[in-house]
Amino acid sequence: MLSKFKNITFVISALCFIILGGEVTIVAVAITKAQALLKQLNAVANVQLPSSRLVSAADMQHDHIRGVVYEYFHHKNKNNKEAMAELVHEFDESSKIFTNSMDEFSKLNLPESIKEEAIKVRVDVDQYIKSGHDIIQSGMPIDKLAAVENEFKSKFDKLEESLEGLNKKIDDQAKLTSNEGENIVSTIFWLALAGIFVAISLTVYSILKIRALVFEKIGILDAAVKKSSDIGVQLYDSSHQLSLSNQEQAAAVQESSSALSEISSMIAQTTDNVKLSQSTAEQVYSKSVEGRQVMERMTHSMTSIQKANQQLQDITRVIEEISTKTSVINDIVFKTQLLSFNASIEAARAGQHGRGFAVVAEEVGNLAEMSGHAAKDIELLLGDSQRRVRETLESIQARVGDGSRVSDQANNAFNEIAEKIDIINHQMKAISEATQQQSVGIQQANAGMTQIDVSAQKNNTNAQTNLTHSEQLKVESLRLSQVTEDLRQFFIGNSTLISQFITPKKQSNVEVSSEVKNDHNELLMLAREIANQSTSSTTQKTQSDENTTDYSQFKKIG
Amino acid sequence: MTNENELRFIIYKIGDETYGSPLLSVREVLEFQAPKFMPNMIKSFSGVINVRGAIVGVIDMRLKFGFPDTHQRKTAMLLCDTDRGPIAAVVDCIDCVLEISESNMEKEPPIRSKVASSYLMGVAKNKEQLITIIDLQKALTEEEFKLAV
Amino acid sequence: MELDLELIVSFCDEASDLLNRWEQICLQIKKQPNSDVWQEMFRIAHNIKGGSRAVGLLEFGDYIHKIEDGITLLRDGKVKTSDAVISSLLKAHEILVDWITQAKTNPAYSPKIQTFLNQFDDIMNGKDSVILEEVKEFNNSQQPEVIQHESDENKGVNLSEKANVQLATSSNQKKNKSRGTHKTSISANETIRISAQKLDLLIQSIGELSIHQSIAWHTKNQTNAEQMKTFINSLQLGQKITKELYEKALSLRMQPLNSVFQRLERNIIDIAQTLQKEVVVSLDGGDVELDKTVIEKIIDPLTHIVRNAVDHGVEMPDVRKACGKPDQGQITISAHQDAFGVVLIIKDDGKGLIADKILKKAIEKKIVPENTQIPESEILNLIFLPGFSTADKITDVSGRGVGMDVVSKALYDLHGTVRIESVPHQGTSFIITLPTTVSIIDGMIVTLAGQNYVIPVGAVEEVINSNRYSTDSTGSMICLRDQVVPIYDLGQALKHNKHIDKSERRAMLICRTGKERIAFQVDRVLGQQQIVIRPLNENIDGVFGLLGGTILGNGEPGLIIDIPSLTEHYVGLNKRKKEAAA
Repeated sequence: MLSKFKNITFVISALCFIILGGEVTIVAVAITKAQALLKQLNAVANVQLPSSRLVSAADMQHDHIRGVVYEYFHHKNKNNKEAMAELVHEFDESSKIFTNSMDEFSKLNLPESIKEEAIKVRVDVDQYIKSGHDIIQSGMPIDKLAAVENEFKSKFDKLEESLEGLNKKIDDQAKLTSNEGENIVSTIFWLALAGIFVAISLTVYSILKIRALVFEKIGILDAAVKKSSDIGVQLYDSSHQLSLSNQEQAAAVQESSSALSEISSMIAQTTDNVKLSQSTAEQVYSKSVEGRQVMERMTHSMTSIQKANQQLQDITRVIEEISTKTSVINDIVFKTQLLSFNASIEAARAGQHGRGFAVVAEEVGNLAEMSGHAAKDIELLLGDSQRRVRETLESIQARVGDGSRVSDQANNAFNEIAEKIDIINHQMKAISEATQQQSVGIQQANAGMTQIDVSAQKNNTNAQTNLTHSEQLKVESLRLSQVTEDLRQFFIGNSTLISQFITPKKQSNVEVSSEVKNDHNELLMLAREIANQSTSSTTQKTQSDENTTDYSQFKKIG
Repeated sequence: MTNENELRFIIYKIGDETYGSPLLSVREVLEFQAPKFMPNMIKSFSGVINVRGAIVGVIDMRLKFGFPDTHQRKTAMLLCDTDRGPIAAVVDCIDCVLEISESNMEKEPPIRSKVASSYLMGVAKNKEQLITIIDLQKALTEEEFKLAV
Repeated sequence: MELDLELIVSFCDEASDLLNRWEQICLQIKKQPNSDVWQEMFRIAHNIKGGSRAVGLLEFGDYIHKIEDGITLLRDGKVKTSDAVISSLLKAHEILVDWITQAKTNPAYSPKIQTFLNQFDDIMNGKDSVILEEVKEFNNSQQPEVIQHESDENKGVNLSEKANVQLATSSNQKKNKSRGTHKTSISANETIRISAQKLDLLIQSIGELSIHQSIAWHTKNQTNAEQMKTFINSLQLGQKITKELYEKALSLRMQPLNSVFQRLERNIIDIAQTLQKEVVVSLDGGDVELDKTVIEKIIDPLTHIVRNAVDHGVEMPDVRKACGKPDQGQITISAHQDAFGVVLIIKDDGKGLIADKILKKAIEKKIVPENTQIPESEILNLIFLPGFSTADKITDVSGRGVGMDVVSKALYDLHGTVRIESVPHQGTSFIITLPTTVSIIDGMIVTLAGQNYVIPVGAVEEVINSNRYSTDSTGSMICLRDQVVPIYDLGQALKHNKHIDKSERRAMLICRTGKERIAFQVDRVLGQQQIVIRPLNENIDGVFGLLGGTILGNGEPGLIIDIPSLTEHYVGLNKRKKEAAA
């Protein structure tokens, strides 16, 4: 709600609307209640009164009928027919009135409970009348009448009760109505009261709040103004100083510029030298690569020799297999020999007839022998071949071993060369990059120098402007003071009493300083810009100093 | 015409000596089979073997002739039919079948022999080689194989 | 007419069958005279006559013709059946049998039959008492010739035939060496009659085998699992069928004992007649079958026993009457089959064997040392020892004392046994057992001293694991269910002289003889299989402890150990040790 105080109009309008709303509500409620009250009155008029009337009438008749019946008895005893007839007529009339009253009663706009009760009563009434009627109309002998009389009595009592009940109910109803009326009135009263109270309190609160805030603001304004005028003074002084330093700077810049150009030319020379070294290194590298390739080719041929070795070993295996087969052949040869012996034996046994077969047997034996010899020869040959293959294998192994070793050594040497070249190359690159960076740095420095010059100029102009502005600032501040004083007067006036009541809220330091700071900042931004310019020119100066030192160092190196 | 077969001999070696026997006395030549021991037999009886389903006794000729036993690979056996059944004789190796004419064979050699005269048939010469001709059947059956219990 | 030897031989074979029937009928008639059989007799004679003429044996045919005439007379009832008639017919039969046997090798054979023919005519014409002595003479005079011929015949057997046949011929020679070859002994026929049905079954089995063979052959090239199964299946079936084949082939050689019985009956009657005793023979179980070899070999022993029964057993009729026995002696020859083989019983109701007499005789002959105590059951068995005979005189028929031991040996060779039961004055029974098949037995393969041997399962009572039973400290005794049984190492028993570590527990075979038991220790029991016993040739036969050989599954020769004789040997050894110690 405090924030909304920026807009007083809103607040006041809101307040008025709230109050208005409240009043309207109260009025509406009052009217409703008044209407209810009216209804109540109507009810009393239209219902309560008639109902009482009717019930009393009925009650009357109730008693009357009893009287009639007793009179009847009396007359009956006397046998006064005339009187009896009269009484009968009276009875009828009374009953009629009774029932009519009841009927009318039931027509009334009564609550349900009463209506129900009425119905019950009605039943009793009818019964009562009936029993009375019985007595009167029946013309019974007297002795019989005693019983009926009792019955009638009981009916009478019952009806009495019922009627009483009904009466009670009606009374209750009337009480209820009056209570309701009372309620309404009190409701209206309290509502009105509440409304008034609310309105008053709201109004008072709002007024107080507004005043306090305004006071606060005025205070702030006052303080701010004072500060501004102080600042103005300071500003004036600093601007003056700025102008002086600028001039010093410009001179320094000139010196730096010339130094830088010298450095630049030196760097260019270095770059050329580096490039030359690089190309030489590359040549060496490509040569070493060639050398390595040659080595690889040599290694390949070594490997293929190894493969040939493998094949030789395969040959050895084949020879072994042949050897195995030869032993099989040997076995067969032996068996064939035996076979040929057996064949000779059988041929001998066959005598004459076996002679041809004997020749065959001998031939088989010879063949076996020849095979045997051949097998032996093969074995020898195989043995020989095996031996030779083995020797060859061994010599190859030896040679290959040597060759491998040599090629490995050469390979290693080449690898080393390549590595070393690589290192040299990298170093060259590093040097190259460094010089490039230096070049760039120099250029930047140069650019910086120019800028510094330009800014120095600007600074001077600005300093001048600042001076003028600070003077203006002072004047304005004084005017502002005056205005705040006026405001104060307007809002609070000179009344010290009110001031006591309305204690300005204790404002936190933070708030004050932040406010002050805000305005202060706006003024300072300008000052800062000026300062920045001076600092940048300072850093540039520092950088150029660095560059100068670098260059001198470089000169020493170069 | 003489029966040529009678002059055919099968030549084999036992120990370092060459022997020969009439071809007809040999039923067949067998590949060496390790004999299965038979108890209660003389030392030169090495055991029995299976020859096409029949059980045949084996005599080691080396042991019989008193040569020392070698562990050289034995090659062949000669199967002889005797009147007491077949017997196999183990020899070192079988050389060949030779025809030896009567003229080449000396019936009554003056030389000793490990060979008893009961089965010695003579000595023959073939290309500078002396061959002792023996009657194998007799040689095999001259002594009782079974040991007395 | 050109005589074709082959035809003659086949005729002779047929004829001998018919002649068998001839003899049967003759014997039958003797027991139960019956006129119906004459017709059959006539048919037989007629058949033989026709056949002989067809193959060119004309003399033979003439001879038969004369006999045939005689039979016709008998058939038509013109001549009455009498003992003499029957004897003459039997005689005629003898001549015929002899003639046929000779004719097979010598078609030109022609016996001296004139005397007989005359006698025959006489009998047919009513003179009947002449025959008997003549028969005897005839017998004697004929004998040497017969023997001569028989041995000639045997020479004709081809030398180059395989071992089994050699075996047969050698056993024949043995037979001839033993005394008293009755002409009607069955010589080693080169042919044999077999039932066509058996042959058909055999052919069927062979067919099945060849089918399986070809199935197996077809699978030889493929090596997938399916084919392997088929292959193995075929092999297994083939194995089964081969076994069946073997049994069936063996059974071909089985002949019913009828022929033996017939011979024996003939013998009994002849001898009875010669000795003038009266004997009635009853036969039982003639359809029990035995292997032909066995039959051939038992003929002689049985004949000998039967002879003894008639000669020494059955008393003279008057003696019998005095004892209260029927005049006619009763000899019963019966055969029945049991689980192990055939049991033959020759029983007579003669005077029985008297143990004391036998014992005395044995001591007399120095067969048994004096004062030895021998249990009665053993005394009777003394008669099987060589050199024994209680006959007081040597008759032609028996008594030379070389009979019973030959019988015992022959039966032993056949792996049979003989036992005597006798009650003095009541009779004697000879109980002979013979195994049905000679050559296949159940064998147990064991390892001894590193070599495999075969043990006949039947010879071993039980096999035990020696760990289960307690032994003594030296390991030479084992306590087997309350009996102390000595242990012998079977390897050592066979003279394998490898050092045996007795403390090592190994398998033991418990073998018994009589009431004594021996435990033979072996290295290992490998398994059991059916073995075909192959006889060992003479060179290697007769080794103590071995009874034959076989080829094992791996092609090695396997020697079969003679457990019974080893057991007996060691039991005897033990006994002698005990006696020496006592």
